[in-house]
Amino acid sequence: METRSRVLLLRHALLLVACSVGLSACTSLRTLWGESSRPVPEAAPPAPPVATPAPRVIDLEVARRPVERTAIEASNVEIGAWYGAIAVEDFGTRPAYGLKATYHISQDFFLQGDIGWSSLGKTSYEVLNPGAPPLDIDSDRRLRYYSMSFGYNLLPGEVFLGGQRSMNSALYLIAGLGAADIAQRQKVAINFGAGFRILPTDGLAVSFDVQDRVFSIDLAGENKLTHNIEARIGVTAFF
Amino acid sequence: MRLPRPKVPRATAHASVAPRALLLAILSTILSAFLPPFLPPALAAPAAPLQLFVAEPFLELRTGPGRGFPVTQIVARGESVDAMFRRGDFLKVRTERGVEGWAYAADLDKARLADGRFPSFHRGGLQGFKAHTGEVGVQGGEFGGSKLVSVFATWSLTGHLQFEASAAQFLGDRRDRYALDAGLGYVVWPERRWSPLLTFGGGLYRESDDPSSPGAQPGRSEGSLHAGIGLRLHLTQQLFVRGEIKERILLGDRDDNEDLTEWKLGLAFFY
Repeated sequence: METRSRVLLLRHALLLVACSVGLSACTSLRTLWGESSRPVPEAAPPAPPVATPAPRVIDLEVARRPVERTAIEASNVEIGAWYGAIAVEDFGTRPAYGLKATYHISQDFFLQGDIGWSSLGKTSYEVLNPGAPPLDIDSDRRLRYYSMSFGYNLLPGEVFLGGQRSMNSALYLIAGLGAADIAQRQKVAINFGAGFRILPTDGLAVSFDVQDRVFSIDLAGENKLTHNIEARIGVTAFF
Repeated sequence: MRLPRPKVPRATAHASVAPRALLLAILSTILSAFLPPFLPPALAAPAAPLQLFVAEPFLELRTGPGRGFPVTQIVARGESVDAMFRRGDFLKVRTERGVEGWAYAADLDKARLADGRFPSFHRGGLQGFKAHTGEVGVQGGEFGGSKLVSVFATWSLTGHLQFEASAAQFLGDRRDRYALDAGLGYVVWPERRWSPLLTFGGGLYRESDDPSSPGAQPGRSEGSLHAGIGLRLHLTQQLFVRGEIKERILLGDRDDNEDLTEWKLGLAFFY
């Protein structure tokens, strides 16, 4: 058995050697029959090395096609109402109410428009001198004002109610420019202050603001710059 | 990386959106007639959530739309999130496991959509200042000896040219004085942090006295033309300063047109 296997292997080896010799002979004959008389082209000079990019397993050359920005719904606009009080210098503290609209520009900044209505109380002069000549005030004693302010979210964070509930919040600074209509006298007004916003849900906000509204008043005989503190609470919805 | 999975509508999300969609549709119809450029996309049409596949090693989700809110969730590369809406620089997203959080839009720059496209989220910075849709700002200044408060909006027509509209109130006496203007503005170097600005246009000037006040003068409403030069300076994010000087001519029925100088300076943002 063993001898038979050896014979078989020997046969295959001989066959392989015969094939190799045959192929070599064919190549030699081809050269002898004139194939070698053909002019051998001169070897081309070696090409200068070309800077080719390193081969990459995955081709990442994919054109970036932008998506329309409107593909994602924006919720940057906050609209609502507020109620509070404003202390007008010399005229006491009166209730105030109004509307506000806010546009959130980025995570840090927002633009806020406010409009407010209130009235003027009586001055000490009027209270202590009932028969004195009246102030140069129209009978309605209206106070209307508006402002357009930029705000900065200084301390964003969370408010925790108990151990299970938390709400997003932000302490912000705000300052702006506007006008005040004081008994039908139009005055430039600047405002600055701070507020605290709490969001019970992503679409609802409750804010507490204290602002100084600075405008001049010329109702009591002299034109003087007054600081009028406004404190209020507002409820707004995001759109 | 996982293959993009087909988008499956979420019944719960759509059910809660239905009344809101109706309200938004009504608001959109009313407001779009007056202020179409101001309308946020939320009021224009409620959009379905956008599915995004995370391409970075991980995506951080915060509890609120700001860097000051804590990170509470991580989404791994290859997983997807549904972007529901945008607020400022952040997107409110929902993960495949149903967890909601806020993702910074810049962190999703390399994310991919279900069809393989790359999203592009508009952001501020100097790059946005060079090319944006429009601007809104508030300015204060003087006009003919009176103080003025003004609000303006612009819409970009080309890189250099923009349509402008503004409303101003002039203050300082008992008269009510307003001006509404519209015109064109030419930004000389929109690619720079600061650039000169040329403006021209026309509008309406209105002045009235309270008839009950002593010495009340008859009111007037006149056309006006203006031309001016200004300067824009990018501050940070989407904020920039804009100042300008205008020469305004009131086209009244008087013998001589009134020629008044107006200057104003203020803060604005672009979107």
